[in-house]
Amino acid sequence: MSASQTLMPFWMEIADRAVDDQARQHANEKALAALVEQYATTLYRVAFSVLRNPSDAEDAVQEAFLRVLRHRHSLDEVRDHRVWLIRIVWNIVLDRKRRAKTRPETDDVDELARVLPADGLSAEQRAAAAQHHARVLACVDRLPAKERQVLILSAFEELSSVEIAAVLGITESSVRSRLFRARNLMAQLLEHPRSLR
Amino acid sequence: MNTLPHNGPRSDANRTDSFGSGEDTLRLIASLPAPEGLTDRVKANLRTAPAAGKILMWRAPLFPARGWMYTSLARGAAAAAIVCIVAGGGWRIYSHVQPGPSAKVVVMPTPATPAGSGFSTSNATRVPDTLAHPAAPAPEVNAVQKVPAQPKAVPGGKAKKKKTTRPAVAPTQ
Repeated sequence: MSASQTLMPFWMEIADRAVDDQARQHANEKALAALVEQYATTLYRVAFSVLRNPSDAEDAVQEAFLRVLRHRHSLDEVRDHRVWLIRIVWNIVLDRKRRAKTRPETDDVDELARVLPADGLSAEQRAAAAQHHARVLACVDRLPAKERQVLILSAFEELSSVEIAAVLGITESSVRSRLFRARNLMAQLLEHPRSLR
Repeated sequence: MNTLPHNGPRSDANRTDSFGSGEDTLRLIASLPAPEGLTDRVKANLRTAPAAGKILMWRAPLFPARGWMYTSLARGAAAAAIVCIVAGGGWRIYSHVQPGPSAKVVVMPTPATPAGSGFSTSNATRVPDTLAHPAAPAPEVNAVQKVPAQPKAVPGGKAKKKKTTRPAVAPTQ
């Protein structure tokens, strides 16, 4: 057996593998693009509900997909892409929120209250609604972190309590009990704003 | 609005009813539309991002999986060659190592006191210096000792006692 005959299958194998790699990479890119198409909006809303700032929320979404890009080879192993992505962006958002704690949150609340839709309302009603939203958000900020997180995620219609539990890394029963506590506390705070702390 | 169990009408506590309007605020936030062109911007960012962080992956073995070198004979030969190389190298090093000159060992004398504190006297015996004693004056042999005069004894007679004469006391009259 000559050397060329010996090495021929070797080179052919390498060439085949290169083609396979290219095809796999192409498939990964397509899968990633599909994920962006499908979940970018959801991730943005999740990020916005915590950060309450459009540009910060978009940055968080970008960062989440960059992380996905780094782990694109393990995309097949992920069972529920939606929950997985929300969990990624949730961690990013909490991290950013922790870092930006020095910024006063009242500015965000006021701006957000203005941003919230108030279709079909008069100017006076719109102002009253904005004031109410600001008050609610201020109360949400005063909740303990665990209860606040569950409450924010529970506002997303597309997330079940099982999925919220998966995002937060807790059990479903914990989600339910925290949600119950959060609602009680919120009601208490809205009735008597100085009742907590 | 929401059909999920945790977001549905709250029958678990009456006091949570007052939070209804508050939860609506959170739902409004959760349903805010994403900005225009978000998807395109994310995609564009993803297209430009991997150029910097591209890693050369060695995900597959360099050699073909079903090549001749994966036969058991070739593997055995390779293993034997590795063993031979390692053993030969070891033998070569071992055979080239010359025993060094014997160390000059200084035999330490056994300690004088077997249960001593670890230090020996090296067979040295202590000779204390003789002290210079005070020199006594030599006795004079020729020196005449003056002996006080003794009364001579009279042979055959009694020794007369010398009477002490009392002084006569003169009458003081």
